[in-house]
Amino acid sequence: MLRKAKFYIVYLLVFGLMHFTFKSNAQHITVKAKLDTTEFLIGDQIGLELEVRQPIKEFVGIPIFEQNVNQELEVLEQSENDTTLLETGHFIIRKRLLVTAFDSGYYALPPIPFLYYSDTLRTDPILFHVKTIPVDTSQAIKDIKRPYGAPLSFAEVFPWAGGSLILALVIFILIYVIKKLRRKEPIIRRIKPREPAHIIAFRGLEKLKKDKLWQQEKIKEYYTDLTDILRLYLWNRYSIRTLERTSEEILESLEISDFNDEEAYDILKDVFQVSDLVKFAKFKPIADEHEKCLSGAYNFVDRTKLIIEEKKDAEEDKKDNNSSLNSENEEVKMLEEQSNP
Amino acid sequence: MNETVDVKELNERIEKESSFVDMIKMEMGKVIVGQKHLVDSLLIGFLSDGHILLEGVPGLAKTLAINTLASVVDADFSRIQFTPDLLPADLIGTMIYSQKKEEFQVKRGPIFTNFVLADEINRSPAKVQSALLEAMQERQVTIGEETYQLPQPFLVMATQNPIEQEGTYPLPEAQVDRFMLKVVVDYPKLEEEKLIVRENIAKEFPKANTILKPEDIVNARNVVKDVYIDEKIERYILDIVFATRFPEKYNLEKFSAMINYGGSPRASINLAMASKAYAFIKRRGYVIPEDVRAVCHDVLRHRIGLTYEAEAENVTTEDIITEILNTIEVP
Repeated sequence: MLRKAKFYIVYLLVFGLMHFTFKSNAQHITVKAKLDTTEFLIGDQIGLELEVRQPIKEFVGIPIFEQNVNQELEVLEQSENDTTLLETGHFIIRKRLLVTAFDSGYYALPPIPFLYYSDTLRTDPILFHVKTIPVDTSQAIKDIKRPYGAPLSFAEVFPWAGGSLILALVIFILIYVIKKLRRKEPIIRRIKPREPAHIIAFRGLEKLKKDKLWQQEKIKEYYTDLTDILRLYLWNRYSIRTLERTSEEILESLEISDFNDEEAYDILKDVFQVSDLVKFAKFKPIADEHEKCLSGAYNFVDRTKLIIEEKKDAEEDKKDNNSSLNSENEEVKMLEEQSNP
Repeated sequence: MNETVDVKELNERIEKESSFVDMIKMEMGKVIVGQKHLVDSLLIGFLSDGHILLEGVPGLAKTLAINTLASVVDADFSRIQFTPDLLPADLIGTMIYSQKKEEFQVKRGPIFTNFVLADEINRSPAKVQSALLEAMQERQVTIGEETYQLPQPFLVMATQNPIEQEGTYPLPEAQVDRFMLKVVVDYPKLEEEKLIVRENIAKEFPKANTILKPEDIVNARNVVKDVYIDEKIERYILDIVFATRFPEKYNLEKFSAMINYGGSPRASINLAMASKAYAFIKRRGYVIPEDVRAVCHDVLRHRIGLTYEAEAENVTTEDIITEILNTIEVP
């Protein structure tokens, strides 16, 4: 019985001492809650800062909120605990929450509980005001605005556009193949290599000569065809837009370009001058003049054709072939010497 | 063979008859520095009986050029400054009651002259513009019950300023079409401006001498009409004008939505006439494609109506004409 009474006395002493120790330590621990502002608009996002000041050896549990702080305040984000060591041997632990409210009115944020062993420390309550947007009741009631459409992104459009393109391509190829098969034509046709400009021009001049237009008194047609052949030649040979330019403009373009054959330039100028007079001034040259213009055109094409470059290329090819043959022969010789010492 | 002789003879005649052109250019060159295009355009209008609209910022010698041309010809000249309060009667004249004779008498307006300089034509309201443009077209004026013929030659040279649009009355398309040429005057080159400054600060400003009589102009106009224009050139002119109406037919589909209306038949006539006059100035008896291209911008720039699409894309009539000239095949 005495032993039982002793036990109870010791138990009460230890428990009372512990309680006294917590109580005395709790007096050195402070907890605070602070809103960035106590007055804000409905839906505004504001900060709620929780702060604990405690001795190093103590532990205070900072509350974790899932979705709401209370019925009015909704939690959007919450930061990690930020700990600062003070010179006085205390910690300051801070935690920031981003909160918002969707109900207007005056509310009180109740004391937020912080667990301290079996004890609970509480912050002071905070009164806050959630304001609404002022409504002008004198104005007519307007309909709710429709939600804004977000612009289409490339990633959203790409699969559709790409798919449609591929589908269109497949359809096109199918139609093409069917048409070709129906007409009994080859599906893939070999394109003839483009003829050199001077070949086309010479052929045109030959045809003009055979047609004997000026002999049939078709002088205007003769000179029109002659200048057309030369214009086409200049377009193919120098890429000068000749069909939409006047004789003077064509000659100017040649001067600007790297054309440096003065004699050929003079021949062309003479042919153009006579042709313009025939075409636009009813000029009828003598028979010799017709022949002179035709031979002038032949001469111009012959002087300016791309034969020099072709020759050079051929020579270079020949040189390359010879040098490769020589090196091959040398290699064969060396191998023969090695096999037959 | 006879036709050949005709053109040859014509060429010689024109070379002889057009000698005064160089004289006019020289006399005008004494007063007007540079602005060769302006002087050529004035001569084209002058020789082909067409009225001219000059457009350019102030101070580019538009008025001086017209003044000088009038002084080179021994002809009557009057300058009318168009203002918002100008009335048609101030231009064409009116009937005034004579107390002495106890009857209405005709008081002719300043339009009864050979050369009319309508300065800043877009400053006056539509009724005054209409009065002038009617006189330009009909070459006659009706005051009261009588119709009076205007003197020959009769040439209107109007100016308008493109930058000050406040308080102006832009000319309607139908009336602008009556001007044969719309010439855009640009700034002179640096060297030219140096000369202009020197001439203007000198003690005496040069003066142009009178070298022509009004009858000479009438004769010259008849010679210009004789300048030979081949069928191929006619076709080229028509292709250009038709391309302003139906660009899609000339591989210019991109302009289909940009052109509201194209050149009228008057555009084709004026392009042919101006080409002839240009050939005459170049002292040639026949028209070549270069002549058409040289006058094309001046003849067509005020005859093409643009749509909002063209304005939104900053496409001008100049761009359209240039593209047409670069697309249509030259004969």
